[in-house]
Amino acid sequence: MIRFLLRRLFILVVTLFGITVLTFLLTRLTPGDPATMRLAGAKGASHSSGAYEELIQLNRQNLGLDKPILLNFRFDTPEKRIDDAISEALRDTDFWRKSGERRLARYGPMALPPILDRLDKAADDADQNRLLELLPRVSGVATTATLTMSPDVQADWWRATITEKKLGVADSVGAKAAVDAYLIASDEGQQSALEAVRRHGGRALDPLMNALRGDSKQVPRIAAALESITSVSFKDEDPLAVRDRWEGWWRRNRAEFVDPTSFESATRIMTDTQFGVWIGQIMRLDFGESYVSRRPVSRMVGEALPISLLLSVLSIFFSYLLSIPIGVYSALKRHSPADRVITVILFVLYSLPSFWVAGILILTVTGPPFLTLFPTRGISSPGMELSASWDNMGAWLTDRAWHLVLPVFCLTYGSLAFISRQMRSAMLEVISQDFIRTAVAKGVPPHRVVWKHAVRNSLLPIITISAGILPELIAGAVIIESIFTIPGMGNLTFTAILNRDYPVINAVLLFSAFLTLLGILLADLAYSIADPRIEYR
Amino acid sequence: MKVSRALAATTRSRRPAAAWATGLAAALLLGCPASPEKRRAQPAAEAEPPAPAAITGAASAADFLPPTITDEFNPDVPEPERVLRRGKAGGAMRIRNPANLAHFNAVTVTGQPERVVIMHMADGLLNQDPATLEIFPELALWFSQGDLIRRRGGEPEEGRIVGRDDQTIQWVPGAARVTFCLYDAPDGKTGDTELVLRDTVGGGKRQGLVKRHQHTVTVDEGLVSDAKPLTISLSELDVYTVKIGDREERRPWAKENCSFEFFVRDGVRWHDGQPFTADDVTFSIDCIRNPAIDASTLRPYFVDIDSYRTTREGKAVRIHYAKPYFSALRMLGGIESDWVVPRHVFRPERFGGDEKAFAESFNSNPFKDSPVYTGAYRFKSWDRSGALVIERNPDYWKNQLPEGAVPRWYVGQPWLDRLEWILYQDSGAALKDLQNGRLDADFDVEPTTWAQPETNSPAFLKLMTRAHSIGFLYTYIGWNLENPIFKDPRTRRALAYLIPRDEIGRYVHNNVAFPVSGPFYAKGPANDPAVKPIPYDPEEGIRQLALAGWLDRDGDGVREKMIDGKWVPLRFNYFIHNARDYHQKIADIVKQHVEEAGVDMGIVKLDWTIFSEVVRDKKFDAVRFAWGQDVEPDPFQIWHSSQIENKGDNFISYRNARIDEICVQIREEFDPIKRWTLAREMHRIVAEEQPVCFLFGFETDFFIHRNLRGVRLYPSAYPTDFTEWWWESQP
Repeated sequence: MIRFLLRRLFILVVTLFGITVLTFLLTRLTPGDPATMRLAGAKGASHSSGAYEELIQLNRQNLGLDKPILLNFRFDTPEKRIDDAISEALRDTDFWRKSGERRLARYGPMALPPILDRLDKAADDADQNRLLELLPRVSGVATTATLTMSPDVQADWWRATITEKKLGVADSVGAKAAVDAYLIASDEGQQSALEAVRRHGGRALDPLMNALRGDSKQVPRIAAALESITSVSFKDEDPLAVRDRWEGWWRRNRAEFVDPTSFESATRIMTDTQFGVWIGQIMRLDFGESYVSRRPVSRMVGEALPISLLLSVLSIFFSYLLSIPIGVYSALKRHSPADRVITVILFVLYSLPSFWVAGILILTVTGPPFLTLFPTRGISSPGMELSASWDNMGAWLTDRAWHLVLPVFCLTYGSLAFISRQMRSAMLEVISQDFIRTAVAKGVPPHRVVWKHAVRNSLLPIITISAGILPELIAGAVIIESIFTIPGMGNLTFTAILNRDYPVINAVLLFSAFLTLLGILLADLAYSIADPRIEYR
Repeated sequence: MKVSRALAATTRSRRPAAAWATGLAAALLLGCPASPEKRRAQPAAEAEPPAPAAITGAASAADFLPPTITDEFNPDVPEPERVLRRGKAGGAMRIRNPANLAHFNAVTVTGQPERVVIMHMADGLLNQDPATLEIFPELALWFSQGDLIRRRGGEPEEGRIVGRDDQTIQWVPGAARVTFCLYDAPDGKTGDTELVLRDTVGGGKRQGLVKRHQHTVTVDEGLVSDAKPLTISLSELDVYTVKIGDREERRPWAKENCSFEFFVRDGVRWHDGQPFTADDVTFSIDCIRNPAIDASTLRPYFVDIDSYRTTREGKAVRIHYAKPYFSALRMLGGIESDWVVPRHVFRPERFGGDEKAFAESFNSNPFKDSPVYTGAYRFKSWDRSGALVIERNPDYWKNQLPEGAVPRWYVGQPWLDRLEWILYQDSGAALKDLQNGRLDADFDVEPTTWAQPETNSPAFLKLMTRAHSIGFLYTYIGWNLENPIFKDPRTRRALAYLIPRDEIGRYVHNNVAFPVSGPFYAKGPANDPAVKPIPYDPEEGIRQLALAGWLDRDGDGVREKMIDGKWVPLRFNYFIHNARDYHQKIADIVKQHVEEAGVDMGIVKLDWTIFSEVVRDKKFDAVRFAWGQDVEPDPFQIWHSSQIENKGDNFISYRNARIDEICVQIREEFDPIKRWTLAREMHRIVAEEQPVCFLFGFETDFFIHRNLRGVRLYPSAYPTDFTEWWWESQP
């Protein structure tokens, strides 16, 4: 039995993984892009025609959708990022130029060699001028000497100055040495040692961060250096707190300044992808945030699931409560007029589509000009939810029950026919068996024959059905929830699909799959309880 | 927020109660009172004081916009007026909300229903009278518009360009056009004079050309007889490039209407009691421009800001724009969408300058689920599956000023104590609750519900007012102008004559659609009511086809024409998508009618996902599609010839030099009258040339409780302002 359980659980996990992959691919490959949808209204706003595309790209980046889906062969070294930043600084719109400039300023002198490179290859004067404009800020050298020079002369002047001041030398050993020197510098020498460190720009960040993990007395000095390079400052009296904040910052920004190790390069082919990020999150049971409302998806599911479960459980409970006796009665009084009438009624109910019945119910029993018996929407009256407390628990429960009558009815009536017919035929089969005749002959009272012996044996097919009903109901009866405005899983899924809210869609489908498989497992276990003959190995 | 531009899938078929809907629409187009069936007397004579004499030029906004009538559709109001009177305080209004709301952070919000809620909770720096489109200060005490120049190697300078020719500009440094509320400069003087200001704006005087409007006084400093403008040669100025499509234009660095200043009021408090300052404004701009913050819908409008800073000791905000764009003032003013959020809630100082970390914190800050603004209503509670409740703000700054100090505001507003938006996903359920008194208004009435006998029954009408406005959408048939068949405008006009709009409107759209003659909003200032839609006239159509050279020479029932030496039959494919059934119905009707005139039309139906690609790639002959609209015209994106390449929105490949000029001029024209005049000229040209066959605009229908008063439906993307509504008697 244990072996059986373990095997089933293992299969469950594998199946779930397969489903995750499938749903993930489906959401990514179907048309409709949340990044574009957000900008749909704003196309006419900005002047340059390319600006719109750039903004979509930015949205994609913010949503994490710019990464490749499965495998990432882009090599995002700091060099490449600096190159990207330079391209951004050369764009037409000021917004992007400034953004690119800010990025380059963070690299500091580290970005100088690539800029000079680009200067050589500059296609036109505008680009050349723009690159020259960047140099003062990136190098930290303020000068008025270049004001009267022509662009070519300026370029030469800069090259000479940069070489002379040894700015941005591509040498991590030198950067480390400068940092070491800075750490042991005396108070008077501190300023020039800091200048020496700043000459390396972003390259000095790695040695600085390594040093940060050492003696905590050095933290203020190191923080000062970090601040002057990155323009980020964390003010706190406790050096350990400052260190923590810098560690956090470094975790987020490390990849921009440090070349990846070969291990990192190899692993990021699989991990720095949309799918890799998703799997990583799943492992930690972190389902992310909804694109639309920015709420944690686990909370959204946590709110919707109990409601759907409540509806499902109530619906199953009532269907079984009604169907089993009806089925038993039909079997015992087979072909009687009562049986025929009941059968017809149940089949009529079965053929009525639930959304139509829901509509009719809303039309007829919720307000004028017909009856006003039940509410039209929701699972509670507006205001009830928020004012709920122990004092008015009774009122709250009544209100809830009153709201649930119509939706539960719509979910229940359809399965009455189905289950009771199954019960009926199972009973008929069991009744015709020898042991029943034996029991009757033995003198067992009739109701015990029926309820203790016959029904128990005919439950097996019913249990099979329940394994099928549960997942169907968990999927949320989308239409019923939508008509009655019930905030359950079905509604959640439907709205998420319309909005291309990928995190929610993925989480909900995964969850439904999990519950379905669990439901099937529970049904199988229930078998073995109901029928001692069945045993699992 | 601009309504989505390519909205084909959301056109809905509609069903009105009676032909008066069409009559009313036609009446609005014609600008005269509607048919007597639904209207009672003529609107009562102007009860407000007559508009002051010196208005800008001969034309005024009233000439361009249809009048807004209060309680227009309510049969309990026998003589509806143009003015809005005082109301009675008290009561709550429960409004139907058809879909889940996301959140209420004005910077990151993307949906229009959320913006409606935020609009009632927030104020902007400026506001606009939705009936006349006049812009006036709100959170700003006053604001100014000016020009910028930059000399070679220098910094931008603020001032006014008072004259311009090929070689020089006339420059008055430091001058600007300053706008005050009428209350703050009450002496009534106009013309070239000194404007004496009240102490409320710090007293003092401003010298310039003074003009008075309905809500504001403007003084053009520097536009006075004894001003001595400097003459600056264009060669002294720097140059900047403007990209129009793929073409680059080099212009001298003299930018008009690119410098704005907003002086922030004292005494305004956020709903949590903290004071509102200019720092909140600059903070919000920082957020919108932070690339890692999810400000996807606002960012396109703020991308062209060159620089911004606080001035006058932190009491004002000065913003420089990169290029002149008339919508800049509306965006900065928060007229279309509110965007100012409180700095003290987000506390960017905590992040020490780390933009990314701050962005993460901003995007998920709980502010979005329980927001704090400065407006008439403040957030009370939100049960996501139930009701969103906002209640009156007792400390609202507008109510602490004397009556009349704030334009369009009676002290004591808002009249309604509470607004509740309750989620009803099913319109049948909403209808039931309207009838049983649990709901007071539904602004998302579906066409089928509108046409139902139940909603036209006396019992229902005793309870509810049936009101409607016009949606911001029009449908059209776009002709691919690269196809030689459609090159001749006479052919296109002829085809327009052959299309039975009335029939389609009746059978397919159930009379909720009305024919339009141009691309601009039918109730808006850019639409010229004198331009009529082309009527259905098959004989005229046939005649035009013949005049254009289309004759059936070989007797096969299809006309031909000699084009470039070959006989070309009048045969084309009409492309539709499958997202809505009625597109097929329309296509069938069109086909049937044009075929009678000797046109061979095929129908190609594509899946919606492929459809947009095919259209962008221009692989169609004729396509039935739709565009969203706005009150203010900005046709550049769709009609300028630069937008033909690179899968732009001008996928019909329309080229017209005058239209190109107008598109560019409109964007830079800050005088609304001139802008609307240009737009109307474009309307006339485009209606004449028929690059597309304009089909329909659509009604949007509302059910509003009959006891509500002060109901005005503005020609705006947000037609309702609930701060104006009140209960005549509580139900």
